[in-house]
Amino acid sequence: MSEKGQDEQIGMGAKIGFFIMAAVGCAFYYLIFLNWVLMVPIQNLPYPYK
Amino acid sequence: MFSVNNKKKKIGALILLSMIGMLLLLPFAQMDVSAQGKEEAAAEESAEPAEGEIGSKGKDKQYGGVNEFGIVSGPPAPEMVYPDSYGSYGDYQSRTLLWVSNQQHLYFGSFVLAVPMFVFVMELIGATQKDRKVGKKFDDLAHEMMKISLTAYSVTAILGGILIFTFLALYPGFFGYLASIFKPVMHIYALLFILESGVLYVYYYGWDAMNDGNGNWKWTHLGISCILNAIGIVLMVMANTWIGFMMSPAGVDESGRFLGDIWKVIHTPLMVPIVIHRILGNAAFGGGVVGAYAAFRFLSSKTLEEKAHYDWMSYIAMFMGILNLIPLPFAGYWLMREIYAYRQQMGITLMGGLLAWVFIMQATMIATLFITVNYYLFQAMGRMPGAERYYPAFKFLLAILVISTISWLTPHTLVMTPAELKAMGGQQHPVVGNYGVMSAKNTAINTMITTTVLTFCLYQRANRIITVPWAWKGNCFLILLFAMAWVNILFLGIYGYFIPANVRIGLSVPQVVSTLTTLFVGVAVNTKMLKGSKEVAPIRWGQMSVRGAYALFLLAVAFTWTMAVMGYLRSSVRLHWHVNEIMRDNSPWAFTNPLGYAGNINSMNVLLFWTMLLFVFWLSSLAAKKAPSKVTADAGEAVPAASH
Repeated sequence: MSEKGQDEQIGMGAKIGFFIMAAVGCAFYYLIFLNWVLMVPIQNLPYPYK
Repeated sequence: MFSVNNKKKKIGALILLSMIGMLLLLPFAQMDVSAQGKEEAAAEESAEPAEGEIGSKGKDKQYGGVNEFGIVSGPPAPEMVYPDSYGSYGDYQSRTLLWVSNQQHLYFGSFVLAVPMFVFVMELIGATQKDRKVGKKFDDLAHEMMKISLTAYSVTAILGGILIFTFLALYPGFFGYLASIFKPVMHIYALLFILESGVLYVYYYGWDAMNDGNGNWKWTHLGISCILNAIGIVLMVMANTWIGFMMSPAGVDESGRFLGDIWKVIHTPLMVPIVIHRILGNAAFGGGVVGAYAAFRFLSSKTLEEKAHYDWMSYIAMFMGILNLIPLPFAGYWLMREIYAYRQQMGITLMGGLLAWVFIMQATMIATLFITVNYYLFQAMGRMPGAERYYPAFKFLLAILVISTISWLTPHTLVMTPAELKAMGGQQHPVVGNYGVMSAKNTAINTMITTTVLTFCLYQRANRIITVPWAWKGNCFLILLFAMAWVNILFLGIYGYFIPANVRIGLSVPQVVSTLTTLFVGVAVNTKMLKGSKEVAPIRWGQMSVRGAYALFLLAVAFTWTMAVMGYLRSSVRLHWHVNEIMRDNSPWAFTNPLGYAGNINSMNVLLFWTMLLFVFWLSSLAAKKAPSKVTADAGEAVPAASH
């Protein structure tokens, strides 16, 4: 099935819904998971050879 | 393959090989005997040795806790006196001579270490391919790569000999001390070198004899490749421990007396990051050199078939090089972090003081590398029908790369006249100066790597039409994955200006992970999307533009020059020490060479290396040539080959 055919089958609502979900997912991953969850243990890591 | 009649010969050969192996182990037995003798002698002496004498307790310079003390097992580092402890050729800088021989040996050593790694991967791909035609293509490629490496191997050994003689002639005092410290492992190094030569020759010359497609012999051959690579890596690790010891000595006391535990001498604070950084660097460099070889053969090929082969080879080599180039800045960052942790002053000398400008040079080179890689991929898409739809994106990708480059190579401070300084209101420019700090630079390099990953994703789908039912969702996800990664990288870069330095250093981790996410997740999703995709038309291998081939030369030369300049940096950071804080350099050449001089020597090193390498390339192409046959109609009998 061509890409165009796929596009026709997906409704605008579903497209926007998926976009929002993916955007929230990516934002959560980068901004919350990486920046916050990863940062906390890194700040408290004992430094080698000190 | 091997005939049954040869069975006896085979057994005889194996017995002979085992005997040679046993002979190689003799020095170890000798070592044990001497160690026993020492222990006995020490036991006989009832009196407690005085402090600092052999057998007394010594405090380790680096290790703490349970590893703090060791038994003094060697004399202190000798004090170097000029001219007694040094040799020279007239007034010429001995250091420069050593520098050149070291650099040349390192170039060839890196190359012959990296190529077998690629060859292993290529051969493995070849052996595991279901389509035997494609499998053979990879196998031939691996064989050809190995051929270049074999010639370079002899050059490496010769340069290694020259390096040792240079050390002995010009720095006998220093070399003697280093040899006394590393005595327990120096012979292992030499013996491993012999072993590597043996395995290498069996591996190369046994290629055709063991080539049964993907049968047992092929897998045995791959096993030999594994052994070859393992020996190569151990050799490199051992050589790296010497420079690790020179930069951050351990396992010795304050005056350089060996404390009896060779592992502590090997495992210095900087050893692990140096080793990782060098393995990745060597692999990236090896990819660059093989890519240049393929580009050279591509440009000089006469037939389209040959051109197609070398076009394909250059792409594979470039790809392998880039695969190692991408994690390289992170390994470098880790090394710098460990240097700061070891001696803060050393870190400051490197990044904020005497040698800070070298990092600007390095930034220029690495930016060149990434722009060149993107340029090559843009050019390569020219031979992929269907890539036209991505052409409009190139200018934007290039714009991101150029902006990042400009930001990355903006210096923190400038060398200025007092009048200029006054006009600017300080050493730091009020606007441009903001781009001279690590926050901006980390952001720049991460943006560049992310952009390169995106270009690669476009390259992957250039001549394909995606047919998976979830194509729309996949595209939407990929756009967001990249866009949000850029947002996060930029956000962390800006946020870094508002927080203290110790917290800012931590920000680099989520920045790097953002970049790596696009690399691993982005490429994985893209590849998954391409499964079962339709081809617009096959790639027109061999029709790569000449500019694309030249880009590969630029890539390889940029790798070489970066290695030279960063080698100068790493070595110079010891300042006036042969062995940091233990053995002072008292020769007239203990000063740090100015950048201009270093630039000239580095450029000369690069030129020398490439001249020698061109010779190696030429030799490899010579092996494939045959003299025109002069056999006449009456020459029916077999004629022996002419002697030479």
